[in-house]
Amino acid sequence: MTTTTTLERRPAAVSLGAASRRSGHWQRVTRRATPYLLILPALVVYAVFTAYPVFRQFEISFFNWHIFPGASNPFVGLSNYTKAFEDPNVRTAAFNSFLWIVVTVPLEMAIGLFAAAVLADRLPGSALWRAAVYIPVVTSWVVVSWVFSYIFASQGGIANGVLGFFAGHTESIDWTARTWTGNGVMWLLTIWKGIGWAFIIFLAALDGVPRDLAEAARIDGASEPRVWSNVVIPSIRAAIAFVTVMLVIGAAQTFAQVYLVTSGGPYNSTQTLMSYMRQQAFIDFAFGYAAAIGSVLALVLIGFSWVEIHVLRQQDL
Amino acid sequence: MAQRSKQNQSRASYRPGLYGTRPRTRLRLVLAIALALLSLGPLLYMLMLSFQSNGDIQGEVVLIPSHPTTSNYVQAWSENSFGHYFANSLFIAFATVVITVALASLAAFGFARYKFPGRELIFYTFLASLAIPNVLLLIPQYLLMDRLHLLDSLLGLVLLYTSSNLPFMVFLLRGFFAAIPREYEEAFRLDGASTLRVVLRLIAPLSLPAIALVSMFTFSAAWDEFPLALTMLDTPSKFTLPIGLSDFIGEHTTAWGQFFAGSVIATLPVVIVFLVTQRWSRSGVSLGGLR
Amino acid sequence: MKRTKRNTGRKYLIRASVLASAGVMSTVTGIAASTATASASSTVTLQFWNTYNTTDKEASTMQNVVLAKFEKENPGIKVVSVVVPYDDLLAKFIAAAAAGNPPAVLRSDIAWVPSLAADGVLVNMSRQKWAQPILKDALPGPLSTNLYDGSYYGIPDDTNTQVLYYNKADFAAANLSPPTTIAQLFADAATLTIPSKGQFGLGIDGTDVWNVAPYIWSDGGGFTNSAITTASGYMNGTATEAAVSELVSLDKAGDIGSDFVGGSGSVSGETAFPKGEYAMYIDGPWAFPTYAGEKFSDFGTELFPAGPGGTVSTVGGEDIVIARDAPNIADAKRLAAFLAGSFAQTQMADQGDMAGYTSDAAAEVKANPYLGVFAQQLLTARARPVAPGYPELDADFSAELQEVLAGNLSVSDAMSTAAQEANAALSNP
Repeated sequence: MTTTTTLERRPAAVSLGAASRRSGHWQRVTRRATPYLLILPALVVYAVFTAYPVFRQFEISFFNWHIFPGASNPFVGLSNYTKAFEDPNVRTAAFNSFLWIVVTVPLEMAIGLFAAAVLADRLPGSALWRAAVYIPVVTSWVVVSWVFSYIFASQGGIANGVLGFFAGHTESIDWTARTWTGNGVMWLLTIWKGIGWAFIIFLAALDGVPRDLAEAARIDGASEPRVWSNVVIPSIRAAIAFVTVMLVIGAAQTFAQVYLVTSGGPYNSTQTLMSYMRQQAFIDFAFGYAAAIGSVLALVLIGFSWVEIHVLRQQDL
Repeated sequence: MAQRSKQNQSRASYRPGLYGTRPRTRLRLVLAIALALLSLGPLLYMLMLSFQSNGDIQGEVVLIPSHPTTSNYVQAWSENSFGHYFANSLFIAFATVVITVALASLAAFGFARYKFPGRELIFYTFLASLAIPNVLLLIPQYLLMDRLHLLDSLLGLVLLYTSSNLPFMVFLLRGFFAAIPREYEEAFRLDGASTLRVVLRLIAPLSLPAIALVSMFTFSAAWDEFPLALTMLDTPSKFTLPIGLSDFIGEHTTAWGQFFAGSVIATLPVVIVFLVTQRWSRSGVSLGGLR
Repeated sequence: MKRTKRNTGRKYLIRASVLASAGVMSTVTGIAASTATASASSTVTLQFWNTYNTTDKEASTMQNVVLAKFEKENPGIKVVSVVVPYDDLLAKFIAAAAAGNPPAVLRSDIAWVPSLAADGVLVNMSRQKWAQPILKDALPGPLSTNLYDGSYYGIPDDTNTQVLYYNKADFAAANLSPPTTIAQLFADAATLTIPSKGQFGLGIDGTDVWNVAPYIWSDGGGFTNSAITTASGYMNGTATEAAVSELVSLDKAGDIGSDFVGGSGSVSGETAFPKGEYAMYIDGPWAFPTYAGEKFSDFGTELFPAGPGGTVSTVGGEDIVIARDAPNIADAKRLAAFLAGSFAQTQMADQGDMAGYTSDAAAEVKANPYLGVFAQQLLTARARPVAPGYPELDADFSAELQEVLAGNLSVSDAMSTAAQEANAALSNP
């Protein structure tokens, strides 16, 4: 009707094929151009608003950049990069970022998968449980960082209250003030907030697990854990890889929580790469330096993701 | 008994559960409740805190407010142009969702259904940007918006948010579109369906869960964003909700009660959007290439 | 199959072009609207960026009283007060300045002025004719915070200092009168620590320079030389180390509250003090309105107890700076001058933002008697090291002190390391 053209008057596929074969030069051009036209709007927006700033930022990393427009920005080549590799603070921050990844990602995935396993099949109130597990993901970092600060407040926080109740502690722990408990609180916060995300991906992934295979395995007498390790997990391999990549990237980019919960303290011992970068850029005004650190981090993450995606693609085929 | 009633449901929608004949419903229900409590716990705590007046908040272990009051909500909403910020955030989030979904759908469709030179290269470059820390993009993006005369504008923010959400959304949708088997389309056509029918009866319903998911991710990302909003906006009447919330945290003193009340208000829309999109993405959703 | 692709593709294309044109149209109208508002009126709109509190009357007083008067006296100029959270104001300003798009006037934390000046962003006030009387009238402590390379790059806006707050009930219960010397302060801190009541003798709100300096300075110690080029001999000097040792041993004895080691979860002085949990602590004038709001009045304030160095407290506050490429710079200067003028200063003093000028001191104390002790403290108050490397120096010092409190380092080792790091920060900001 209104959406059909003259070529589509007849619905049968065969004659249609003939019609398009009979189509002229213009039709072929349109056809070949279509994919490019389709991806063009998104690419343009992306190129302008993300890609270009990224290049600028990369460019800045090679200069000793000053804010004031018109000020001379001496080209310093790779010295920002060498400085980054020699800076002990970078090492601490990189170590913290690494720890962050190693601690939070596996736990988020494990608990997320567990939650998905629990909620994969119907339950009374399914929608409610699923919503409950996912909601932390959509909350604001600022808000939950403060809530967690409260829970772990050294005096009057619930955490200490609970500890006191169970363990008879009269001395309360100053959670956010010491390095390791401070890290612990932030990790807990990150894990709490990330579980729902892994959960929802895994939930969808579990949906695609071949039920008959699982049932066949059970009939053959396999125990439930066996069914899982031999049937379920392999069939959600791709989802696992995907979630890993995304969570790692997310963990490497943590910044807000550090800022809010411990302010990077006890000074600089809980800084992650992102928060250290920000400090260098916006408090110490060392933009070129911060950009260099950022570029290195980005390259590492891209490398990691590239590897993971290749693994994913192999299995996709 | 439970099994049979499941089987008695319409044939077309019957699907054996993951656990087959031993659904272990009771055990899973208990675990589900535990998980839900752990997830919602801190948020419920926040809810409690929002009903406490400022003086009572710090330093005391309180689970249930001793003198519950709604004054925090009243103050938060009326005193600080909260309504304004709320409206601004709403506009930005919706606009971002609309534009992102439109652009991402097109691009994802292009990547999924067509083979063209440069397809893989462009796609993966697109994706690579996810790994780039965007803390540092602040200044180049500001300079760019200045040149485009899009500073201090909600629309400018929309474009920035769209741009940062596109890679992930395109990725999700591409996987999804790629997984819609062409046989389905062929089957429809052989049955004599017109294009319109194909789109309405096949593609659209199948797309809905994915679009819903994408919309939800995009909405919550745009809703919560703070650094860009703060840097790009100068006119107080254009400020967004996260900026409004941070107003409560002063340099020396903080209005905790109002902050938490404001937080509750700020969290509600995202939760609502999530619940709405949940309705559209019930069990039928398969995230295509993620299986 | 080709047909399928083309058609579904076309459907999307149609939808997309509709949306795209809608997007384009709204963008165009958006741009048109914003440029329209800019050029339509002949009034000049100035942006004044600050961090005023919106939860009390600070921000509203500025907008509705002070700026309103300015607008009345200067028809044709409209001022928009943009309130930004403290932690983010500097970043926002930097981005704007980098694009050549700064606000007309910035109420900058005093700690940022040297760094901004070093990067060539700010107007040199020493060379401004209109600023001369203002600079002459300024209180010495606040004025010094604007110094960089021999010139002043800002004018004081508001200032504040910290004095000793003491809880009358706690002192009465122990039959003590508040300390007048620093030695007595340390002694009282020990005496007034009663674990069974959950009471600490002293609260110190952090290990950074702002919170620790009064103790160090009054005890005769210091952080850097007067030219602020080196910390050696000062940060690791005997007097400083003695003062720090004193604080550390008090903390180890459990006489200092949880706020010393800090972290945003610990209890601040402002929370614990009204409850009697900290018998003493130092704080600025803003605590008064807060306590009044909480109906807590059983406390007193006095000058920081004197030691070998005198009674030396910190200078806090904000300075007014103007970016070199601020729009409407002539009007911006007028606004800056107005903000430094008596009307603005006394109005904001009522909100706890003490005037940075000698001529307003008497008036503000008369209007707000509780400011008397602060005004007096300001006479001998000292600014923290005014240099671009200061933030890093502060961070290094605080980190080392934290190490000592955690029991990982001795005081002398920590201070030596801190001095070394501070030297690096000062020479290479």
